[in-house]
Amino acid sequence: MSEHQRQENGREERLILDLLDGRGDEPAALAAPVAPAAPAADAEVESGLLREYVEVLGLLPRALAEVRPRAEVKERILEAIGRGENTVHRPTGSPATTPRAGWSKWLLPLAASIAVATLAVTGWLVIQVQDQRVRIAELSEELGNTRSLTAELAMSQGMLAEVRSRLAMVTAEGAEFCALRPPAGSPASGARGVVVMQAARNEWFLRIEGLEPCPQGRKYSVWFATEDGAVAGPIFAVKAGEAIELTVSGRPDKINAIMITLESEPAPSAPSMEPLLFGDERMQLL
Amino acid sequence: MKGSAESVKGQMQSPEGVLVERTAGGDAEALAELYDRFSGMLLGLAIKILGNPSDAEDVLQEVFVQVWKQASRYQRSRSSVSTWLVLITRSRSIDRLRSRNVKRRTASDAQRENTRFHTSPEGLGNVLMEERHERLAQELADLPDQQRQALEMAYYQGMTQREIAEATGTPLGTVKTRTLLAMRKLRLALEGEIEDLL
Repeated sequence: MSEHQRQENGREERLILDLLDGRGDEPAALAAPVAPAAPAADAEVESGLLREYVEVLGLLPRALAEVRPRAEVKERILEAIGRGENTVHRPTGSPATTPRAGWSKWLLPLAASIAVATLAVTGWLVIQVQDQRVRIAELSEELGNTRSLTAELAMSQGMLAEVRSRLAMVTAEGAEFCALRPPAGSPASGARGVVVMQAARNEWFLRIEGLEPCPQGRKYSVWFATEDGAVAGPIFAVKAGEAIELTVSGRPDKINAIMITLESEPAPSAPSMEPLLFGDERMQLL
Repeated sequence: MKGSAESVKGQMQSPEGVLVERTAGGDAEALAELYDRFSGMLLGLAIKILGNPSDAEDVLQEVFVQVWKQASRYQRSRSSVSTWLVLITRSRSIDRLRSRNVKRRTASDAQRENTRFHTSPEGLGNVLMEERHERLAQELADLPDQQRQALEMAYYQGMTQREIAEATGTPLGTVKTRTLLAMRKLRLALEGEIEDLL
């Protein structure tokens, strides 16, 4: 190998290695002037050789399979150069959900329209809910009033039924009355009472007013005086200013008198004190 | 500010050269046509280097934005348009590979990720392109394994001859010789293709 050939080989090696090692947008061998110290003929040869090796580098990727970029890559490039930007921003998120460029100009107005529509619908719904709440409150109040009226009506009906029952008892054939009065020396001097007995229905009705409230641990007791002795009737308590009305089924036969006493609990089998109220005069109205 | 069409050096005769000239004049449609012609090949190259389709797409975008801004710097006397684009893409990809510490992936990983993308039907449908693809693939396959390995490490991984020597445990001189032999064989084998590009 001649010296000239060795020099040519050396230049070729340098060209190739510079091309492969080149950094930046152009390989160093491309950017540098071609062999400045070489004779003109050699420079021409070297320039041609350089160009051929450059094209070899350009041809190498053709051995690879081409890969088609996604459509949005091109759109982003065209958008970027339209905006005069130096870099292209890759949208985050799934490529499948990336909006197309043609849509992007509609996105903001569309979002604003949706927001306004949503606000309007929300406002309308809020007003509707408020109206419904007012209506529900009104209906609740009406329902409360109706329930109160129904309770009062039921109570009135109960009272009316009781009055009718007592009226029926009082007006029934064979009904007897017995007035209860305080005997002389009774501490219940202001109390009065009446007993209505209806022999055919075996029921009797007691009404007393003017008794003092019961002391702690004691209650009033009804006694029927018969030929066999005193028979205990119902016991009851009295609150201040309250009248007592009792409708009772069942009573002993051959009653001579009716008494009211104040007894300790539990009630004894016989009166423990003089009667507070006493009645032994029975009479029929008709 | 875009350069004017007159600032493009050299006379533009190839269709791609005309597109670059129009791009230098601010014609976005010309850039779009360049993209349509070369994006498939350039994305394949970027994926080969980066092993990551997402990063490769980013590089592809950067390349064409750069072309838009610097089309006036293209010199027909130095390279064909396709080679100019390839060298820009390779340089950008290697820069990203190093500066961003992109995780290198195995060939199988890259292949698996490539399934998200589609092989360009336009490219494969073009008989000339397909023939060129097969020719290049065959010429590379015909290279001795060690020569092909040295060339691919330098070209696709941006490794210097010294780095290849260290990585393969081969003397530096041997690596250089393998690389040079590979390039010389390819230059001779691809003489016809190179002639078409000049």
